[in-house]
Amino acid sequence: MTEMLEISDLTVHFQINQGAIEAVDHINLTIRRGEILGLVGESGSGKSVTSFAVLRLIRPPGRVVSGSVHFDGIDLGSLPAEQMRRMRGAKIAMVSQTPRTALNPLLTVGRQISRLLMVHAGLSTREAEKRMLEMLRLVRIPAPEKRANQYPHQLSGGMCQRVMIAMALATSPQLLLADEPTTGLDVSIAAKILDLLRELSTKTGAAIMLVTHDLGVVAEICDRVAVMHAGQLVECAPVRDLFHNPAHPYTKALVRSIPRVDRDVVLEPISGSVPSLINPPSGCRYAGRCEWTMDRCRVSRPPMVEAAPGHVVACYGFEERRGTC
Amino acid sequence: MSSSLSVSSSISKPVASSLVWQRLQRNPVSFAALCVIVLIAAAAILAPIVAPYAPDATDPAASLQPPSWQHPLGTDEFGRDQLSRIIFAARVDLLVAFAATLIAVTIGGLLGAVVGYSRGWADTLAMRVVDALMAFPAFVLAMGITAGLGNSITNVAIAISITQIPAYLRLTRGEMLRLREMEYADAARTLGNPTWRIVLIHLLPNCLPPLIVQATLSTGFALLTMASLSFIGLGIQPPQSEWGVMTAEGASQIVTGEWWLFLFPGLAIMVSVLAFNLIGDGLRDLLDPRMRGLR
Amino acid sequence: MFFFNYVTRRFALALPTLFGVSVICFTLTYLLPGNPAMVKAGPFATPEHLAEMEHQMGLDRPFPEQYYRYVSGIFKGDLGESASTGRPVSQDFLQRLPATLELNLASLLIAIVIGLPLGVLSAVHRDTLVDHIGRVVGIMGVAMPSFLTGLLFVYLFFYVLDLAPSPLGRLGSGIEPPAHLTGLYVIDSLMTGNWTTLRSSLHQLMLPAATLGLSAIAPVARMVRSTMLEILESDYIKAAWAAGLPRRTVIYRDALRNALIPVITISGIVFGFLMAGNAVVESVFSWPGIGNYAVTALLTKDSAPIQSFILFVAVTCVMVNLAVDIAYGLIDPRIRFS
Repeated sequence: MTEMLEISDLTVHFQINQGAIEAVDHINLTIRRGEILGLVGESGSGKSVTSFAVLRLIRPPGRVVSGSVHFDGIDLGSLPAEQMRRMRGAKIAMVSQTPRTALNPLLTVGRQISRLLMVHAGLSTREAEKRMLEMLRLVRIPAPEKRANQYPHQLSGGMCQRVMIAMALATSPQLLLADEPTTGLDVSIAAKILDLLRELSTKTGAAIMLVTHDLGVVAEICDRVAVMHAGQLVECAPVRDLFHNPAHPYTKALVRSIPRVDRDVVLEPISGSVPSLINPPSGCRYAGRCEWTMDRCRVSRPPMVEAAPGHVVACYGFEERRGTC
Repeated sequence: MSSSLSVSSSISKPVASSLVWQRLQRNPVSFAALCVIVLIAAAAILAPIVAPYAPDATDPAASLQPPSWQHPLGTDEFGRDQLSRIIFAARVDLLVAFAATLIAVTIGGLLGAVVGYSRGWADTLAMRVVDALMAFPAFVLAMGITAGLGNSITNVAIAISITQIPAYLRLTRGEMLRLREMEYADAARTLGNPTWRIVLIHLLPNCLPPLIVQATLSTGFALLTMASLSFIGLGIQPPQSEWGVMTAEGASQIVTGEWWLFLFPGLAIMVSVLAFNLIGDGLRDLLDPRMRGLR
Repeated sequence: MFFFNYVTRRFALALPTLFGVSVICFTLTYLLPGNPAMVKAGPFATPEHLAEMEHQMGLDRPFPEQYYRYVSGIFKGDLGESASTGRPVSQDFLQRLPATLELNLASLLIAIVIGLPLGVLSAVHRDTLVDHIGRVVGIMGVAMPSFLTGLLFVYLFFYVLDLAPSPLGRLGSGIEPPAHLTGLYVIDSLMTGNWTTLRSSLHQLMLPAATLGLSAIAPVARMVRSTMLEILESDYIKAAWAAGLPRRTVIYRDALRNALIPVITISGIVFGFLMAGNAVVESVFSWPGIGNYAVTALLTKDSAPIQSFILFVAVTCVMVNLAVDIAYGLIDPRIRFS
């Protein structure tokens, strides 16, 4: 079975006066059909850039330096611009992290959904309207007929996020890129949004790439987790595996920093900060913050090795320790 | 004890100015504009030396001559050399533009600092007056004030500065409202500095960068206003030469085709205004990071 | 209902400004040379006669009372008398206003028709040739004195190429003005089907409108560019790209429609710009509008027309800004339904 999304060797740079910001550095990542993959890391670790790169929406000064993205076996990089445009919103949809500002303030929310249906599914105005109301009902917006005729500023943040999700799912995409879909929302509303995503993914069979900095969110709905640090992928594992046996020191630190109610542990902040991505050090970018750092960590980049079936990690320190145990 | 505070705010000055100089060199357009202004100003100051003729020397034999080697920019109906007149005229134009700006920055800056720091009724009143003054297009207001005060160069300078005061006042007041809440303002107050000292020594210097940018940009505008006023017959009276007046005189020869008479003084205005604007743009990029990226 | 409140509040906010404007204009009247009593009494009046005249006109009263008289005079349409035409300024004004209006509207049209696309294109094609051209046009447009533009146009199109008529007034010699409907010759001759007059009035209008319009292209283009850039970077435009909407829809529907709201504000600012510029341009082209009227009055030290012109321009600017605010509220759902 082919993967839904296959990112290989993706590198994205942003050219600025002081040099190139290496925002995403040689990333390999796959998402299977119907799977929910969590992409986690601190802010500035290149998570959002990765999802924009999938949509081929990196604009100058940004540039995809190397790598390819295959979606359902199609090389997105080689698609003509017009076909790529038809992919977006139809096959690969995106839910933005800023629901309130990601809706056009001058259009009613209903119109914003129905026009997508007209563009991508070729529906008539009336059909699109009907389907739009169905979508609003699906994401559990009360009184959809009334809400459809309202403008974004008349809706709450949670309501806007539901609209965004309805918009993203209206065209039944096979892949949903959800970029921090619950930031800025109340905890109870955030939980509802996550439930909704999970439920819809089961219902429609869509794969989801959930970009977040919140491991709690990941634990709640993801099947698999990929951890990014400073533009590099450091670990990727099924969700239970990652939480119980984190292999990379950065992941360990992330897991330790989750507040727990069931156990009494001391929260540990991760020491140091994300290194500058302008002409970053060669080798592992976590070396400056890591307790396991060895000389070769600073020289060359550790390759991805398998820690357990389906669990990969890029760390010399891990290899060393596994060898000795 | 307050000296340590003022030292801390001024310590970066030599560093900053050399930095400005370096960056200005890296911005070739603004640098070229600065050279143009320096050149014009130098020519104006040294006018009796650099001008090939006396500005009022008539030569009936050489009247209305197109540009030639003898008269690079041609001659007018009395045979006066255009180039020499333009060089002498630069004195008036630059002087008025600089003077008007200087008056406006000083008054607007000080008033703005005071009302911004004190707030209260003085601030409310000042802002109402500023609103009312800003309802007038600057040129129209300057026209009215010059007409009211009487037709002279000094009054033109005063009129232009009055039209510009509101912009500086508003700018400084805005900065002051922000600065007075800063920690070092608190520190200065805690140390028992008198209010005037806090405003003038501790806070006002921090308002300078945006003020300088605004001043450079509006020196160009002052020059333009001045030239337009004298073009319609206010301020400078012939035979004194000034670029706007010269353009107006040249305008009457247009139907007979003596293009050099209106074109060169007009271009002198344009080039100077352009240069001031470009310097201002360059300075804004350097000094005012908040305005960076806006053009 | 809410919208009604919004309009009322805007009006209330404009009132202090209008009050300030009237005080400033009145103060200018105080300063202006030419004692109105002296004008009325004639050049051969005795000092006693003059004092009598001053008393009659209330010039010996305290400042607030005189101000009150001045303002109530304005409300009655009394703007004083022009010493040179000997007629009430309000009459002269009404007669010349259509000429100014025609010139300003034509210039506004030119400025928007050229400035808007220029601004949009320079934003969409940022840092390309179009953007650089736009920037040069913008910088030059701000630095170029409008009288120089006007004179260059006259020299090129009238003297050298002979494409434009002589820069004297609104109609060629021997052409009768159209029947008076709006006072705008172009519109009146269109409405009455008077093609000869239409041709001539358009011909005469061409250069002054281009001159004044050109000076306003730069601010229009610059403001459109910066709002458009801001909007193109906004979350909802990024979302629109991500949703796979066609480029045309994203730029010309989503982005431009949002950018047009600030552009309405711009037209308010530009109107003030044109009002300031028309005095100069009207005098270059002998255009018989109120700007030219005021400039002529300046040279003859005729104070009533000058002060009326200044008052008129300022009040118009305040009113236009008010109208712009209200239009804003009509268009933007964020205000309409807040």
